[in-house]
Amino acid sequence: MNQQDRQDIDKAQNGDHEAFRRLVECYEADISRLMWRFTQSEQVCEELVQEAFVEAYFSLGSYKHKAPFVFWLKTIATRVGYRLWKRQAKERRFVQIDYVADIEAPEQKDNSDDLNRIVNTLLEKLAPADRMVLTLLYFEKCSVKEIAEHMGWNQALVKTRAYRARRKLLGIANRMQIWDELEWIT
Amino acid sequence: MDNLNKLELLFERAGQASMPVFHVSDQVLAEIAARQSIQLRPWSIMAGISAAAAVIALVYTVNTWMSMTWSLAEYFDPTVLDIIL
Repeated sequence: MNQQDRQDIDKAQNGDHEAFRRLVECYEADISRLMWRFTQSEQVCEELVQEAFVEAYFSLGSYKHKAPFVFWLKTIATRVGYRLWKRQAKERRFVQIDYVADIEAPEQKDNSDDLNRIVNTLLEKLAPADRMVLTLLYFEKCSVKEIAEHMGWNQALVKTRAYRARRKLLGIANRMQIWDELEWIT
Repeated sequence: MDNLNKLELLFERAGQASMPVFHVSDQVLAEIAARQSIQLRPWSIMAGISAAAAVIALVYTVNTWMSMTWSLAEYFDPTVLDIIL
């Protein structure tokens, strides 16, 4: 965190909106990238990014410069995204529909966007907590300690959840026989 | 390569997908301003409660004073009141 950021955080904590605007502009790319993990809809994603920054503004008083600002911001954003997943999971349970589309082979080999769609289709079949831990572990490359801090879980729980989530995801992938479609990936 | 490694590889390649960047500073500041305008601050709640308590205390005092005056007038003989006053 540079000196300018530190000054802007202090000013924003005292209600300076322009200082907070500079912080938003500085970190909106990081938060957009993170929120894209929670939805593939641009409109929903934009709303999530906004909500994360608004929540951050009203929680600024709790930021004590102990961790990098971006880490603190990502913790808030992660929880905003996690709330969305939990809400979606509840709605899906309530209406009792089979919401997951079938996996289709990517049109073009090594197309990251297609692979991303496949992975998200698989992840949607998991419970929000399992999905969360794998997303942070694999996509965000977070350590167990970082995941624990983001989610407010202890590290043992993160390890257990990651192990079980991996097993569940493998089971789903095997049942859906995606390896035949993705043979070239090896 | 076993399926677990394949899965990790799948995540790694999927993680390279293109991602949009949203420029939200204007909307964020507008939303903050909107929420602040409807937000009740603790000091305004305290001021409201204090003002209401002051009005109630004033009404109660006036009411008690008036009822005491009337009851004194009724209790005492007017001549005694004349002597006292």
